Amino acid sequence: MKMSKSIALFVIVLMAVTAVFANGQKEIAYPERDISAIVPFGQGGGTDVWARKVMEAMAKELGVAITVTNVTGGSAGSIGVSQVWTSPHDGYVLAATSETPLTIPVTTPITQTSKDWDYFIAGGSPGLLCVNAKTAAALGIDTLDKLAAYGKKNELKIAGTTGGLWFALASLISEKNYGNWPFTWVSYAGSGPAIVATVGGIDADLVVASAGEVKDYIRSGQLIPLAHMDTVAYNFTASAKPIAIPAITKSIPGIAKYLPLQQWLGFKVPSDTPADVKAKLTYAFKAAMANPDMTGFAADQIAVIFNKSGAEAKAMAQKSESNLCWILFDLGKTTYSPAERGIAKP
Amino acid sequence: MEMLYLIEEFVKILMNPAVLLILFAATALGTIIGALPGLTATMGIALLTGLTYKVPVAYTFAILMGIYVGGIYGGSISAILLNIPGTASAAATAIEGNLFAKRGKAALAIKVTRSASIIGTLIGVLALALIAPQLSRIALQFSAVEYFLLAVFGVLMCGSIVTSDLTIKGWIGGLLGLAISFIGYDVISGAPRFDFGNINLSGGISLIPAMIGFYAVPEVIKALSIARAGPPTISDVNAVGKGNGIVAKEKDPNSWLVTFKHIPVIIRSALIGVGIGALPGVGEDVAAWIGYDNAKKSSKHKEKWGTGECYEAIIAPEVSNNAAIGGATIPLLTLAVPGSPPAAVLLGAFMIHNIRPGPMIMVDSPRFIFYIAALILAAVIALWVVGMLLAKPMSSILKIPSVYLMPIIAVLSIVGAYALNLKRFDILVVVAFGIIGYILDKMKYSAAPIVLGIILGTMIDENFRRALIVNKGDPTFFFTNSWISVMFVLIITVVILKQLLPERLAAKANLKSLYAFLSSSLKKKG
Repeated sequence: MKMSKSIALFVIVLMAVTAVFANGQKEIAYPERDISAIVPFGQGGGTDVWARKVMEAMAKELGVAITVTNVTGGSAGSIGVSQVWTSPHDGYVLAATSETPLTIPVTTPITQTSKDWDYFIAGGSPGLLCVNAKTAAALGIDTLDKLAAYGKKNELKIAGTTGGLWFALASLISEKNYGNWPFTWVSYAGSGPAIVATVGGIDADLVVASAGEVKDYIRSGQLIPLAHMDTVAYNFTASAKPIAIPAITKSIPGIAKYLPLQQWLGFKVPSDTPADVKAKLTYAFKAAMANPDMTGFAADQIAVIFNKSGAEAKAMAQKSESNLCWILFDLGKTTYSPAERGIAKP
Repeated sequence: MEMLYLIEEFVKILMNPAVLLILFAATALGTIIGALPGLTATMGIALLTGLTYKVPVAYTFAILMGIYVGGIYGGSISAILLNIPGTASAAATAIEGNLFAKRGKAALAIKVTRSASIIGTLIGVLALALIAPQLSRIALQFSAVEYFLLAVFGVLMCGSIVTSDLTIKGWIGGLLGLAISFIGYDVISGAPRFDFGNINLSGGISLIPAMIGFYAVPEVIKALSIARAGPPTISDVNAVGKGNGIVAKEKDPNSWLVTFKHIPVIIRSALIGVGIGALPGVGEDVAAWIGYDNAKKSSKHKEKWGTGECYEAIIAPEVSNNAAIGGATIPLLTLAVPGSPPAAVLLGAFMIHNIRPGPMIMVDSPRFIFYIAALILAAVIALWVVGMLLAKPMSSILKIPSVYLMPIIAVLSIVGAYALNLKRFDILVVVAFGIIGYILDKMKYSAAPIVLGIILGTMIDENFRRALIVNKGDPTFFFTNSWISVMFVLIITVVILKQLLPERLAAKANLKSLYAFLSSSLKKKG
């Protein structure tokens, strides 16, 4: 019996030891093994869908598989992002991202900002303020003007995820210096559940989300788009009849100074990843974006293709970061000030 | 009309030997993945989604649906044999299932749960094909209030899960589970809770590593700490007087006959499974528990529960969790909102293959729902055959000396916990919760209510506060909706009954006296 127990112990120790040493191999040419991409948000959301599409195309270029894993939790995707940061900076662990994780440094103790990451920005889809069809019919608020007239006096419920782009935009509508509409913010774990709750129409009347995410609900008539979260009107053509969606600034001109605040999706790697690895990733990313498949995909997602990497992408990320973090700070929704994280004022 | 589409798609699958073969292989693989502690249906689907990028669509979904159906069933095998649920949805099955194994009836229990799984899946798939749009409309009517009450209803089960001495230990376990689920960032306010400044804790405790810790690790420690002459096997450890290991002395009754004797339980559990599965984000785990609890409450042979002879106790959760597959696929396809974790991974797979589920699916790809339903249907047949082939070799796991088996299980558990999210912290969770679990096990606490608490905690917490926010802090909302009042009455009844119990039964929680007391106190009141 003693004997067999020590065999068991030996097997466990042996496996532990081999596991430790398996980590210490030297890399030769990147990539020589499979790459993993961490999506810090749930399945089926914008970041996830784009990451899967882009990674699939990049895998073909790199000749290895890229496994996409969703690691959710934390604030603004902080858990997934910090998991990538604490992994070796060798290009074998990529972080899929949207603009939302840019708010991590002001909402969590994590200090890395856009300076510490290199971005690969694929595309993004416009933000739409939508009302569910039942509420719209019951309250007579099926246009932006009617919503503005009603929403200024009555409390409406708006669904979304706390933190991030849509939260910042929705907060601006209710902020007294801007829209001053008395919204009740109903928070969900992701934009998917928030949209469904709005469609259900019991817990929420309105939702701000990307056109790609609400497209099908608009087509089926369950959601009515009321405003484009930008300074210009937007023509929604994915439905049977095109819908002209006015700019939110038509009703709340004060928000204009924070706009445009765009959604963008792609991935990022720590800046101190070896240069040759980053070059290889840039090459694969550019090739993936040039794939005609990508154009069709973007059209399906009602998205604009940005196709940005290097300094260009970093500049774009820094601009979004500065805008988002300072809006949240001004609204009193941050734990840490952007100034103490070294994020410049817009 | 819908029925015709379903039959047509089903025949198409039957006519394609390649698809059939793949489906069989995938179901077998799914069963094995489901049975291995730590490897879940969710992970199996995620893993194969990654591997099937380049595989033609016709084969991809045969693979994924096979894994899904097999995986949910497979969990019950290890739950029965080792008292380690291979997936979270099999936790309820473990309670009675393992008692069967201890009586030397492991093979019979596995056969019965297979029959139950097949029937459950079948009913789920019919719901998917025939009433998906209607069901998803009802699911949309569930607001925060209903979700909260449903979760409370689930947690109230803690008291009815058998612990060998005190009923209150079920409640303590449940509260412990709830407390664990509160760790991490709060979705409502975006504030961290109970993370002590630790970034890993701020992400919360994931269910799977915690479950592996609570179930697998204590079993490993227990098995290795039993000293005997010669290498002991699990069946030695489990054998309690009657029968020895899996070799049953008397001939086992036919599993189908046994299963069909419980038609009322099957129908109720299947409806529960479909309904719970169809609710966005609830899933197989909760379905199994509610199925178990419902069967227990309505059982005519309450004295049999906890004896290792109660078929209802293994049929109900298995029918429910497998019926939840069809149920969970309903919101997945019609709302693009997964009804359960495996369905969430499936959503990703759909997206990769350019199929956009959602409210427009009946317009964009009208046959897709029937295609998926037909695949699940074919997977049921595969499950039947595969289950028959695997039952014998699987139950002989019990004959492997535990000095060899347990290290393998320990390693698989760690690998499984890590592979799900690739988080090193999850390994720590397994070890830490494993040690806590072992101590709790020594103190005669059951792991089941703790796991139930973890599963339902977030749902209770978020939806309660969301309901308060939506109703402007006015708690009377519980009484203002007809749906709600029905559920609330149910919950209140259960609470009152449960509160009466512990005092008198603290000394000896004998089920017979428990229910005799229950019925007499009911009669007095009535």
